[in-house]
Amino acid sequence: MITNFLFHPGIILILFGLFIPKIKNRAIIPIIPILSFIVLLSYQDGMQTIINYHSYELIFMSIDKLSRLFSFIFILILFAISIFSINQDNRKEIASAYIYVGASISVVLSGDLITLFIFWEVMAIASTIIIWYGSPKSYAAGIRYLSIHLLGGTILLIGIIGYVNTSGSIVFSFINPDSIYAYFILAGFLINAGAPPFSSWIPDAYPSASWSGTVILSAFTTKTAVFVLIKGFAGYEILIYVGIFMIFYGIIYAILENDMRRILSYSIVNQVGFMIVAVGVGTEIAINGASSHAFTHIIYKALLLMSAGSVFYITGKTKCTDLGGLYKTMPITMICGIIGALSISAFPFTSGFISKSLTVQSTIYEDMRLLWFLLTMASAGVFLHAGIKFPWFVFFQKDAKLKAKDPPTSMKIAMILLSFLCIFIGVFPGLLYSILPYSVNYVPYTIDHISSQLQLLLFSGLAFFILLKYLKRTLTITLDFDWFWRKFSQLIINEFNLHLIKNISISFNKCTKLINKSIETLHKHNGPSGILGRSWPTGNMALWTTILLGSFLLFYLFW
Amino acid sequence: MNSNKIRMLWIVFISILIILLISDLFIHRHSYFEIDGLFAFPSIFGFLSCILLVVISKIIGIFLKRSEDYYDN
Repeated sequence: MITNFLFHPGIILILFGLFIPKIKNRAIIPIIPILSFIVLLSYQDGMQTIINYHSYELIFMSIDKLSRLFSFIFILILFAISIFSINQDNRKEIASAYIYVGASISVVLSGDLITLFIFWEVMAIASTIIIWYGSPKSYAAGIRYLSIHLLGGTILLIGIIGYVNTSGSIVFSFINPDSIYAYFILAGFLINAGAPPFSSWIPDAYPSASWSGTVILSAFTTKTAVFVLIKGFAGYEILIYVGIFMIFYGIIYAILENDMRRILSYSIVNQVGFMIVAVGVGTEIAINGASSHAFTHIIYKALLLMSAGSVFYITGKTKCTDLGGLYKTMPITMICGIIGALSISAFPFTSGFISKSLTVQSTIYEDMRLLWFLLTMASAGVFLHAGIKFPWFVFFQKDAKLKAKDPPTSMKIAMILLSFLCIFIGVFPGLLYSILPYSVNYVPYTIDHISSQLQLLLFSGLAFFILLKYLKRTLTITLDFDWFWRKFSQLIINEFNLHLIKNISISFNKCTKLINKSIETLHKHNGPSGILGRSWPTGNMALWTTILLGSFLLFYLFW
Repeated sequence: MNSNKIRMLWIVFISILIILLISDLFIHRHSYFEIDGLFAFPSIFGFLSCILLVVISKIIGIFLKRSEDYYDN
């Protein structure tokens, strides 16, 4: 049983991750993902590892086409990131990354809700540590990130406990929408996917990490969420609305944004929105669309962030207003960045084209007219906010006269590897299609489709350059829902404090006044000159006694 | 980049757009929802979508843009 426990692609990464700070030669770190990959390959579809824990049978590892696909891409991207971050002096960051990715793979491979939840929380903690290694400023962003994920985790836990109690089973498969607990689980998953109103944790936390940390973070949390949504909630209609909101939120906020890594983070929300819409549609082709889109997105988003990370590593700057003109000094970074940008925009012969088309096609098969128009509009918007905006403002526009050169070899190798994959997958779509959960009966390359896509994208490009003067970046941020917990809550506390202090001082004043008044009254009546404190002559007493006795006598006689 | 190079790039870009538009006359694009089969539909739709998205973001920006150090105090 213990061998079953150890021969697990995720656990291998976690265990090796713990020893990474002790490894002397950094160049051997990328071997670990290869080991994990060999272990993954050694298992057949349908294979399960079960561990008995009290009265529960925990399905520790369950391999099927979907979980194999996600584990494969997680291992692949960890391999590329390990090469990219060889120059990262803080070795604890990549060690946390191994634990984080190991936990993500364990979530993907888990067959029951309890195992899933345990690794879900490990992910939250390990990724927070990666954020904290960013800069001294990252601490607050890390705390905000952790709070939101712990909130999500708690909601998920409530859902799991309720679901297991009512259904009597801990197995994680499609969850029936008939109980309220299904929606608690859904909400817990959606918070990790960056759904509203918590989308802001992505652009808040990811860009706070180091140049390599942001690349690590971009791939796993949101895509694990997409995976569990595919597995448990395919066909939930509400996901279509959530996804559409995320798509347009991502575009609009990215258009307004100045920081290149934040632009790319908003674009993660946008891309995950596409996947969630596909999960909401829920048909076989849509699920293929969501999973292939997650697969290709992980590659090109990591590539884009590596390109941005290289610029940050070399120049120390991340704002579009400080950058520009780097095409001369950083040509390889620029070319790789543009390949990533073309892929995210779904240009023909890139990976984005063959994956996003499946989702768009699924809306045609289901005759969802409005959804098709919205997704097509959003495809134009993706080119606008990420496809052109990122390369244009970083590598072209006005020359910012920055001293720069291409980054060290290891970073270049990682970027070239991912650029190659973006084009390779795009040119040979059959390879990716053959490992998707359902069989694919769709041909992406028709003259008709290529022509429509080129028209859509190039005319969006025309719009970008015509509107360029309205897209000039300013030194601003854009408020989001996180205003409510970053500013509004602070205002309420301040207001409360203000009134509390005011009330306390008013009450205190009143009390002192009351006490003073009582003392004064006592003094007035009982003091040296008070009516009750005066010394009276004895004659008075005799007079009053005589009057009293006299009255008594008269009373006695005449009654 | 000097202005000559930029002019060249514009000329190349506009010619590609024109070629695309002309080719649309000869390519039979499959129509799924009537309107999308019209001549140059993807071009027009893409162009207008981008303008619409920029206008919406500008309007939202008026209300929600703040200076960078807004949360620092």
